[in-house]
Amino acid sequence: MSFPNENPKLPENINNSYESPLVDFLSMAAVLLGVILILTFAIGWSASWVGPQIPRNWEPDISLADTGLSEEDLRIEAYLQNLLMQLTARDISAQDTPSGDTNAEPIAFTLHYLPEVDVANAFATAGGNIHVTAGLLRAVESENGLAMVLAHEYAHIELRHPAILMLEQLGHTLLYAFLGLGDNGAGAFAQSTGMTTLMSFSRDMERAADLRASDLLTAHYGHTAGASELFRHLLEEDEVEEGRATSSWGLWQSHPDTQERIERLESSYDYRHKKGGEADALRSLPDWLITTLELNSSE
Amino acid sequence: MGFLVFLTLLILGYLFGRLAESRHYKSIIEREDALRSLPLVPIRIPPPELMKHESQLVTGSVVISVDYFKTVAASLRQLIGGRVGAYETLIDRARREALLRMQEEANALGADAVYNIKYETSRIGDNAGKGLGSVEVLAYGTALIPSASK
Repeated sequence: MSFPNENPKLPENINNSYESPLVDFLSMAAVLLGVILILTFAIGWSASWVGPQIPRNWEPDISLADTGLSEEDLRIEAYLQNLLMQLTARDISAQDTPSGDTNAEPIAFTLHYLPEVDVANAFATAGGNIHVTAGLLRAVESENGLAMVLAHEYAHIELRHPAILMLEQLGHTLLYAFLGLGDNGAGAFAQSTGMTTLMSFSRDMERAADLRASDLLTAHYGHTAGASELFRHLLEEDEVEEGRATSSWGLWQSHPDTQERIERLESSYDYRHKKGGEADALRSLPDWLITTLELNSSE
Repeated sequence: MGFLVFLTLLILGYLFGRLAESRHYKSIIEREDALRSLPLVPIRIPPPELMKHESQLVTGSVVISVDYFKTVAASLRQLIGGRVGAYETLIDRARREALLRMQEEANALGADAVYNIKYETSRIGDNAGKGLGSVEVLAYGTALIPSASK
């Protein structure tokens, strides 16, 4: 065995890969995003299909309501419950329920009034719970405007959206658990892709609820005038807080664009053609309610 | 917001990581050429012609950190499988750099050759479990130095 005089010059790229790291990275990211996109769509679609099949009494009863409401607040809560009962009562026989089941029983719901919350908001949670904030009551101008919001939340419950959302969240969580992705790096990248995809399902649900709500309004009042009151209010608030409206990217939002919702509502036949031809078609909110709200807001 | 932070870290990691890597490789290749005449062999017994030389331990050690881009690329690889190119270059650079440092030490001692060369590799840093860590490579061998009495 002879001892070498010098070290050999070995070719490069035996022990390191020759390919460009960027090309390598982008192709891997594309594969991952494709998989996530397909799986998230699969989760969204299957949740929208399975959700409505789940018996309503399986839904957990989730509500964020305060327990110790004052007598005034209880009166408001009862008024809201009553208003929504009236709105949905006419519709019991309706053939256009999503299930197409003409013998469908009216769907039970419980209204909760949130007197401490100044932000105009209403939301439905699992178990047929509808929450309405004090800020929302101040934001609407007529009974019709309020009815639209209540009917919208009722539509969410009727269309089983809380159940569908819970299934989507469950599927989403399981997906990332199976993929073993954490919150950092590629995991965060994948999760935001998944969430963006699910947001498109959420926007579809909002549109469906808007549509259903205007049907309920038409059935009750004969028209949908006043339905866009809350959205107009939200739009004005956005304009006051400059930048908020422009910084909201359509793709990342859980709700459709407010302007789009206003246009959709106001362009409908029922909005423009008030059946019965009453000049003053909007019903005002009861005086006691307005007085109570004003008193509470000045405190 | 979290996504923007992620994207910024990714781009910074890529740019700086690539810059550091191409500079390092350039330097490695230059120094390997310069020290080519100092043979490095892994055999455990010194060659007969150098039996009269004195021997001394020489070591070279290096610690190199992973950059953010490499971490993300590797975590993507984890899902798909295949060669983790991002880490291959890292380990390759660390091994060659450690060997070079050992060779430079031997050269400073006036050695004719280094034999019985071994490598040790270990990971460093608490974040290593999450993929953000550093790697240490230690190369050591026995330098054969012409004895002064000869």
